[in-house]
Amino acid sequence: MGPPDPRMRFEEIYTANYADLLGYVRRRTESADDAADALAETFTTAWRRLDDVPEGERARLWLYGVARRVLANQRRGASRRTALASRLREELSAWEEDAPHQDTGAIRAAFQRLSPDDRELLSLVSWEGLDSAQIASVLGCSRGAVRIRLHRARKRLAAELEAAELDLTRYGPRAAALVKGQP
Amino acid sequence: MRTADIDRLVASLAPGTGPGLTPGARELLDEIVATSQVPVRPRPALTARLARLAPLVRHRLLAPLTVAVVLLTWTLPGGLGPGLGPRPTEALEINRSGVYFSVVVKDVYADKRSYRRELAAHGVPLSMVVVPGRPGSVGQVVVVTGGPLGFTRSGKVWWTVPDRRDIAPLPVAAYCDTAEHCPIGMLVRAGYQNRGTVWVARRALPGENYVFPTRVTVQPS
Repeated sequence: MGPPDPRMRFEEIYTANYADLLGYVRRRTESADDAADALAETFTTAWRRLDDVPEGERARLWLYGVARRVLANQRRGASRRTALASRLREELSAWEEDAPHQDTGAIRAAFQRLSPDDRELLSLVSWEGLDSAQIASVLGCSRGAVRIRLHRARKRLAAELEAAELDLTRYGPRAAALVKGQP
Repeated sequence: MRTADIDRLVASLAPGTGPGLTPGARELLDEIVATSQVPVRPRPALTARLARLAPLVRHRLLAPLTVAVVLLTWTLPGGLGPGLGPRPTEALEINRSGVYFSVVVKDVYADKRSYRRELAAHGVPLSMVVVPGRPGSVGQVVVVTGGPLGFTRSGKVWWTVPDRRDIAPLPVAAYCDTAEHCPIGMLVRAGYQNRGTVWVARRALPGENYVFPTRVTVQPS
């Protein structure tokens, strides 16, 4: 049996991971255009470096790592609008208009006061559902380093929440008790 | 506050994940495969290469003869007839001019053993690797004397900028951050020996980690 057809392999990777990657970039971009560009660049990189994309579950982590750097480039203003994904851009814009707007409450404000690194760590856990080993793979560091940094990030968010004296009733009595330090 | 509770609060902030695999997403897949080929490294036009080499003549550390040989072998590889042109190599183009060897990297993705073998074949006992660097570092050269190669992000690496009388980046490296196609390589003093590994910075691919050390800046001549 010969090597798999590149197009076929890329298509498998793309369809298996597209929704997760869209979620990843959409949650970290301000606009549908930025999300579409980041997606296009991430998957273009995967196509060009297809031999480097690991098999199975690790492909998703590899793609997260690429998307993370693509987004960092976007924030540094180094990216330019790609000619790709024009239809996708329209679809994402339409979806955004129909989606219910998020509450920008005090918890979100406390979260935003964290450093970008802390936010990324906590997001990878709570939004992407990754464990320490998977996060280590995305960030290119050791599991131990991830665990330590996660612990510190959680502590910093807890401190921010306490300092904000939030009305957490909308998140349930448990959340309010937690922020007040009650078991 | 417990870890799980913090994580639950953060999860409550998660924005929507988007509409999923839409027809536009399928279209993007087709666009990428149709229009984005595996990158090739096109040979720049002769006039462009000559124009970029002009700063060489102002470089105070280089003998004019070295400049001439680099220019000649770079623009006319293999075109000088038997015995005169560069030897056919896969990864490097190596020529001697006086007390210097000019080493131009032809294949920036070749492995370390290929570079070493070709250098040794010319009597240059050096170990070298080509690693991705920031745009401002492309073409620059350092000597790494310890630590795990290729892991500047996670491990301590001891590196030094070599004395330019021993090893110097190609003078055109000063313009690599703006030039679209930029030759990288170095000039090595004949007889130079070092136990370390020479790292040469290349342009990073999209999404690729920078490995070349920071704070190695280009000094235009």
